[in-house]
Amino acid sequence: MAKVASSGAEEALATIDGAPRRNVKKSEAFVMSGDVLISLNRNVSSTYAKLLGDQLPPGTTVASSIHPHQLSRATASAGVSFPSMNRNGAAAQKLSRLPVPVSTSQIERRGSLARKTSEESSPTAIRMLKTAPIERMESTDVEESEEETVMMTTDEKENQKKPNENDDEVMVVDEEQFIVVSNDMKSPNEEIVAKSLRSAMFTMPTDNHHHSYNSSPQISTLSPHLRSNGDGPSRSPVYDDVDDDLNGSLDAKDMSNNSHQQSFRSPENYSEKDTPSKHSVVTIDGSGVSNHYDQDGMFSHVYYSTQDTTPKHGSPSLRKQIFESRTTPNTAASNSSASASPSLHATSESRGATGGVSLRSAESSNLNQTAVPSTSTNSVGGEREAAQIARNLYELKNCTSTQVADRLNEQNEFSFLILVKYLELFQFSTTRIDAALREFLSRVELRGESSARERLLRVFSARYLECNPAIFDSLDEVHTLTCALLLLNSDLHGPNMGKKMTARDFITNIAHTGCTFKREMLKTLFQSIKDNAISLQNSAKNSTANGSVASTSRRQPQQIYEVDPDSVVEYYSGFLMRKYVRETDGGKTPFGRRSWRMVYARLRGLVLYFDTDEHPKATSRYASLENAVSLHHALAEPAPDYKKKSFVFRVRIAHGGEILFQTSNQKELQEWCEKINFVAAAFSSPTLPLPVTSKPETAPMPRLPRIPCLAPITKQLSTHEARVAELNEMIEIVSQSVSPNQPQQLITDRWVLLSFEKRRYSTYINVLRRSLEARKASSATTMNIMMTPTRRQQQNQKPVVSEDRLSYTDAVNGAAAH
Amino acid sequence: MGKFLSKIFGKKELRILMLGLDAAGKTTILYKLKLGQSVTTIPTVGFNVETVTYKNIKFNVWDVGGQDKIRPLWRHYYTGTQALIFVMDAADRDRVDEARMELHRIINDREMKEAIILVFANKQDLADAMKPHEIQDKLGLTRIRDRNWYVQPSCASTGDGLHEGLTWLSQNCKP
Repeated sequence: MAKVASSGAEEALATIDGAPRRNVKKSEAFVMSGDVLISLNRNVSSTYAKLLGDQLPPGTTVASSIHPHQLSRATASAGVSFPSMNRNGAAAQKLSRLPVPVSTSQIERRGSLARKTSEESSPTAIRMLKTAPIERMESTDVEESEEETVMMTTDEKENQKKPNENDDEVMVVDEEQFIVVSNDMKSPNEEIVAKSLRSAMFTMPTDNHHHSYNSSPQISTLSPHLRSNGDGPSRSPVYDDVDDDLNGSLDAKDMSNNSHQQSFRSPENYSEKDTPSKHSVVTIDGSGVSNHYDQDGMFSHVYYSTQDTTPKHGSPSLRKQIFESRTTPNTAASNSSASASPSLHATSESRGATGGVSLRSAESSNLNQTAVPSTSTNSVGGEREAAQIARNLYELKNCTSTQVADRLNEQNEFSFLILVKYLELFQFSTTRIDAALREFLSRVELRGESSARERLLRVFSARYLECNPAIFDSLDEVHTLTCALLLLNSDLHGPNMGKKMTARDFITNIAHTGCTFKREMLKTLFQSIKDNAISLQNSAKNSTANGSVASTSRRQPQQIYEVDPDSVVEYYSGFLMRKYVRETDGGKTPFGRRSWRMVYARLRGLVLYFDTDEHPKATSRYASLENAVSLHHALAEPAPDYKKKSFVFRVRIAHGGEILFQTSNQKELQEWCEKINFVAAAFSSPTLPLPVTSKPETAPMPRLPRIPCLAPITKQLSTHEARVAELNEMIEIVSQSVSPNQPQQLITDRWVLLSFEKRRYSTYINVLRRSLEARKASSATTMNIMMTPTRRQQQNQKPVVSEDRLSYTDAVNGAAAH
Repeated sequence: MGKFLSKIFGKKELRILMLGLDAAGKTTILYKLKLGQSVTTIPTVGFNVETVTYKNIKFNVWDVGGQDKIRPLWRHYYTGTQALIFVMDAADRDRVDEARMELHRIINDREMKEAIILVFANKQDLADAMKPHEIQDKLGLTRIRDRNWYVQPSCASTGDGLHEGLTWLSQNCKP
């Protein structure tokens, strides 16, 4: 751009320089022509003067009469001397190099034109005009040399001395005129070139701009390309979903397989962390029922906590307390619910009386809710004992904040009395509600569901209102504000995703409840919670409590998922050749693992363990996990279609797994199938019912729980029969739903699956019936053989009061008596 | 570029409210889902908020509960909630009406119109537990229009059925 501007400026300067030169030329020409005319020719026609009178200045009337002649002759000579134009052009090019000599020769030639005009009046002049072109051609070089001479000498002297030279000068003048014309023509060319250059220079940035414009679209086109590439992986899940929608059964299989993997892997991870023993522990022989689980959980919790307290206090009262806590589970287990109610209530009261800390249990809590308040307790003595207990709780003696919360949450009159005494120990007068809340929560840990936490906060709110009756109007207001503060604490300092709550959100949120508080107070409370989170004290007791709680909660699942294989009843064992066909998740076994291998198999509980020989060494947990198969909802049957080997049976595991086994003879084959099917039939939990959904889509795969079921065989038999009836109905529905609109393959797959399920449960029914009939047989030998695993099973099972089991036991005893 | 990569490979996050009556098993479900995951050393004082990662999807579950008077405090989290997990005790036939009223009260809120509904019919291992077909009638789910709901039988103490429910959530939630 700068260059363009500079070039433009230069051209402007050139133009300014050119103008005065032209003006000078014109004035000099008039002066010269005036001198020549005055000195030589005075006879001028008046007609020419009149024609050009306006163009010429009025002072030079005489000169104006000659000028028209010049014009006419110039025109004629131009037409006649056309061939000489080429030479004139060449001369012009040469002269253009010297601007100053050009202007000088022009002046002289105009003077010579005037002289030539006077000669025209005679006939001789006419002849000379006719021969002018020849002379001009011959004298071209001479003219050039003369021009140079003219430059050196004075103009007037030349005019007076040499009249012949005037003719040459005339020709020179003509050439000059042409030269001037050509110069004029060239300058526009130069201007055109300059303009083109300017336009080119202007175009250059345009081109650059165009290039950048082109490049940016290229970049923009690239990024959509990247986007499309990026969208590919995100779209593929959609595609998978579409496939899953199309194949409902496959989707169900995937879901169940995934869930199976999840459930199978979690105990693995858990066992790796928490089980240091060398003995490998894999799968379950524990309580599958939630009630049993709760009992076990509570028992282990009680046992652990009592152990924790034993080393610290060895007094007889504590020993008595431990004995009572240990006795309680047995009491709950052995007595009926009706008879247990008063004794448990008495036990609870006696615990309170002794001043020890008792742990809450679900059963005692439920029973005490409905129990009649005891009149045996002395009111004065009760209050004194409650006050003592409250003092101990307040000072966290012999207990942690967690236990305090559990104790205060109990629902009985004596606990309520303790609660009243406990709250009286707090002094919240003149304390701001957030500071009071911090004080309260430093001694009581909030646990459990939101409703349990809310109850404790209500208790705190009641006490705070009692200490500060003038600040708030009602208990509900204090309670609402307290809950709002804790919710704010969870929002700002907890694992909250998304935006944190702001002061405006906090105030608006409280307004939803209908309570009105001062805005300044709410802002102050918000800032207090934001700056300092309400958290547990960093005392050793609290950390110990947290650790113990965490370990306790972790150990509960441990008891469910892990049992030492040595403590499980062994139903059968022996050497087998094994070949994996399908993995436990239903996928095909990879090529490297599909070969036949010899293993020593043990059928223990619901798990089939594999070892290298009869007396295996203590292997690592990982190896045992790798060499075990869970047989819940499994089916074992001979495989006559497999013709490469003889005496082969196939075991189909839940969710699609498949394994082939080879035995040494037919009897062994039948025995293995019978035992595996018996275990699966006797211990597999009932299938969870199918979920329902708002969308009319294919039902997913049924959920097959892997926790063993401890129901008696007669109940299992009825469960299986109900399942078979259900499957029959489902098969009929599927058969009736065959139509061209629906995909045929989907219906076929579902029909095959349901048929297999039906065959499996039918096999279960047959196996259980044969087992029952065998037990009822009068043969002593058969009775002894069949009774052995049953008795072991009963011994290992935890005692559960059940009418079916009692009747079953009586039946077995009756059969044995026979 | 960074944005695209994070969108492609980043985790999907879902905000979920968990609701249910007392003793339905909400806490057990939360702890069961977190089994095998890192547990924070010091729990935050306040109400239950758990972050569960399942199949590369992060679930942020709020335990909503308590009396009616403080229930409006949780409305702050209704905005942006993508799913509601309603836990009910399938063996508790006496309180199924209370559960139905509780469920409809929250799903009829203006802010919860976009949330899908997952019902855990918990304690299915008990003998007298209601089946999903029976539950959908008693909870009035068939009368709900233009809502996506799913009744999943579960047994929280053993973990059966929980992952199936989360799988359905991850497949049906709008990100």
